[in-house]
Amino acid sequence: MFAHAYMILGIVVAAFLAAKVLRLSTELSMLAAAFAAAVYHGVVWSGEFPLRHIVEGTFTYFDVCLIFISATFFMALVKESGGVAFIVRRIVGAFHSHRFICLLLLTFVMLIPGALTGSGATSVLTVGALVGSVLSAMGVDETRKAAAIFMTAAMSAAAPPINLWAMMAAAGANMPYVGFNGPLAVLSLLGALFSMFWLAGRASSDAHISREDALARLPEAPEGMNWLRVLLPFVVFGGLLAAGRIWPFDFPIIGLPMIFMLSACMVWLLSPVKLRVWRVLSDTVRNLLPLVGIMVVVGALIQILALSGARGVISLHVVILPLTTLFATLFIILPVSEGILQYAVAPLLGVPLIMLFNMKGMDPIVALSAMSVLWPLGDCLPPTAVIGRAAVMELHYEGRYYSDFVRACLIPMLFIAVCCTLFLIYSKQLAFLAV
Amino acid sequence: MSDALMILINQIVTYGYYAMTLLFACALAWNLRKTRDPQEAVLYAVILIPFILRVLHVK
Amino acid sequence: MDRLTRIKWIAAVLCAASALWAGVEFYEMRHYKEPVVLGPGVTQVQKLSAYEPSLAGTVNDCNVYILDSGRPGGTVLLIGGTHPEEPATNLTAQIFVENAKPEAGRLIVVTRANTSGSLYSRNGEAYPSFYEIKTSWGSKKWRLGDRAGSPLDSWPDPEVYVHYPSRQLLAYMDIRNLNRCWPGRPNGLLVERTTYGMAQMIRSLGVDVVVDLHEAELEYAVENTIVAHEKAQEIAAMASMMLTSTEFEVPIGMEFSPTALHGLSHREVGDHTPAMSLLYEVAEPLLDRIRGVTDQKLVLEGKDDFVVEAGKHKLLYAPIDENGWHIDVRVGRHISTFLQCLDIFSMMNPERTITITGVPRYAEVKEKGVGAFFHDPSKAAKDRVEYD
Repeated sequence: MFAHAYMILGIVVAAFLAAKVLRLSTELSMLAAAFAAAVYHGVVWSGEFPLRHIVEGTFTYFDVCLIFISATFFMALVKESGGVAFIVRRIVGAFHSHRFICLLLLTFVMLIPGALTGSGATSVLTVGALVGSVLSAMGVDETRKAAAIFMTAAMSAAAPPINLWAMMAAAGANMPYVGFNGPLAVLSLLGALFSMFWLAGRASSDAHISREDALARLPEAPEGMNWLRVLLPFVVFGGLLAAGRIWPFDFPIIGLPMIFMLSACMVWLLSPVKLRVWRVLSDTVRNLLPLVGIMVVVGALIQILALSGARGVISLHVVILPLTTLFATLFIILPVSEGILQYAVAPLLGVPLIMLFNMKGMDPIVALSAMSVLWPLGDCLPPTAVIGRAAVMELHYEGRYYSDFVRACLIPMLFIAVCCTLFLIYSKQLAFLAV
Repeated sequence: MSDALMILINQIVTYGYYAMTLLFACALAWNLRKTRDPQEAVLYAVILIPFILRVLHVK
Repeated sequence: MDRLTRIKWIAAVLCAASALWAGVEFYEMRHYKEPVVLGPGVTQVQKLSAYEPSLAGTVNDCNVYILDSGRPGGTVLLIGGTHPEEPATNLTAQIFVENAKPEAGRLIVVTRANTSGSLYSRNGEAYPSFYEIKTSWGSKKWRLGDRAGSPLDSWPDPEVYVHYPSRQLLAYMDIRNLNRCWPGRPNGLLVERTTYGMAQMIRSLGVDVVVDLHEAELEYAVENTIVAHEKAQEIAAMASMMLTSTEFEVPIGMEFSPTALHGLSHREVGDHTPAMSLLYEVAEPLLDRIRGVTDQKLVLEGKDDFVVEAGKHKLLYAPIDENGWHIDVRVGRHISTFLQCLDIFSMMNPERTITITGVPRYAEVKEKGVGAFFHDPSKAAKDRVEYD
């Protein structure tokens, strides 16, 4: 059984690399790897091609995909209605001369979309370009700007209430997704603020840009846009979420995707400009193709790995590692594995690790939170690099990807990695955060 | 709210989800038709599988 | 037709064909009916909707098998299929329906408590859709299923599941997990209404003892044990001692139901109905994340090299060797544990005695195999065959 599982892993790696050499996208390369492994397992072990498992695997993250699409659609409508431009212009107008407050508010603007949707890509795609414009206006050079957008977007994905890595790993370990808000908030806020201030805390050029110049670089908010129109959809969103918590037994169960769609309806109703809803939706789906694609394909791959025992052998090797080795290597292993497998790492590595940590007497909530903040750091790493690619695309960054952009991210990444490792080691002492 | 009414509203929400899934499936199919990139086209077709099977109440 | 259009058509057709291929198996699983031959003890078959009318017409309107001795005594409810991916549970329950003869008191059996969960397979886990067990008259087929109800029957999940009535926050998908939904609520989602229906049944039929059957991964701490509500602690403790000393090679433990953990049958049934509640666990390697190849063989034989390896590193809560945890062993343990608990309950409550004959104990199941205790539905009278 061991030999078979190792063979499957070898086939997956070989097929993935071969597909990449043939210039297939990461998503299709993973699909090719899943098919190759399925064929081998079918021929050698079961005697039938496990097509049902490939199709079934595509459902694994179906609800997560619905959340992605509906949340990004909502934020895209907010952007299209001029709401995002309105908020950013107000921040620049009021706090241009107060760099500290301005950066603080921009960090929160970057954090909100990802925190609500669990997707750093949503932050990049909805507010990344505008926040980038403000950073340019504040004299931040292109490389540091792209790095700041990526790092805050990565932290937005890690920020509560929705952290998909923690949700998926908790679900796999039969653990309620409860108590994560505290540790996740502390780590993601620390990481986002450090990244923003480290990368954009001081202007790269000496030229001082006036408030007027800064505003001139930003798109105009449409006439008629005001705080009420911007905030009401968010109030609907928060209200529906809160109602489900306050009156859980007297309020229908609406679920996150529908809450986002209802909030999107509010944006549409309140927008001062006519919104081309179908175009926004189809653009949303197009922008999310790499993300949704990877979720669907990774689901299929994981199911084939589970079927053939390859998932088990990976999990087994993880759980028999000594704890000190894990502490010393997780800050590298987790981001690198995220770069390779995206969210699939949560069930693949997260679940056995959580069971192991639990067994060793660590606090599983704090430990999983720390891991769930480490994972998104890998979103700029190959082969997937989904958020990193989205950030450089959205900002039309023309520098070199690894030697400039990724390099600029290294110090904030190191800071976050140290914080998370400390949280892992001292999880028991930090358990008071998990309330 | 009576029990029956609550069950009915939850049922309506469920139908809303099928409608939402159909809407997203249409957007995916639309992009499949529009894309000029063959690899994107293949990926759209793969992503459509769970959306269609869910709308058809099969899986 | 240009190259791009051709690629689009080929991709669309291949994906549609894959969806159709897999869709046929999904459809088959969702619509496959499991025949149950009514044994000599079955006096009535009810539907759960008799106790919660909103379940009528839903997949969770399961059969409730009543085996009434006609003699005075207590009433016991045996629940199988709470988690359909734990097959020893529904098989044990069905063995009672097909073989048990109550001599005193009344036995009520539910074999597919969360039918919805048995109609689809868990995404990402690669479980087989069905498993087949050899009998003297051919092979008999069951659906395997998932731990939770199907999204086709209960959609959407909330972003966080707030348990009724404790308000404890649980993972979103647990709103479809029958053993997180006790005692249920009449205006909830399908699985909450299912447990509400069962709680109503327990109250209205005056059930004394409720037993909920389970299986667990070997990496999970609650393993090979009886979890008991305060009302049932003495029974569980005595049963565990007697079974360990007389019948089982691997001991069975006893644990107190935690008071702060809500939604589970061993806690809520005892708290919210007059009945005492017990939950049995037995080891099932299929459920371990570190398992190897996932197939019907693993479901039935429970042998897995990777789980054995994890055991060598002391990462498991149950012993395992190359013999694994066979379905005969798992079902046999559940049957003996149930019969032992009934004996002790009857001894402690002579006026509520429940006596059941006709079912094998652990050693006999291990020797003959579970297949020996299922009857051929094609040979039974039509009115003595029901479908789950």
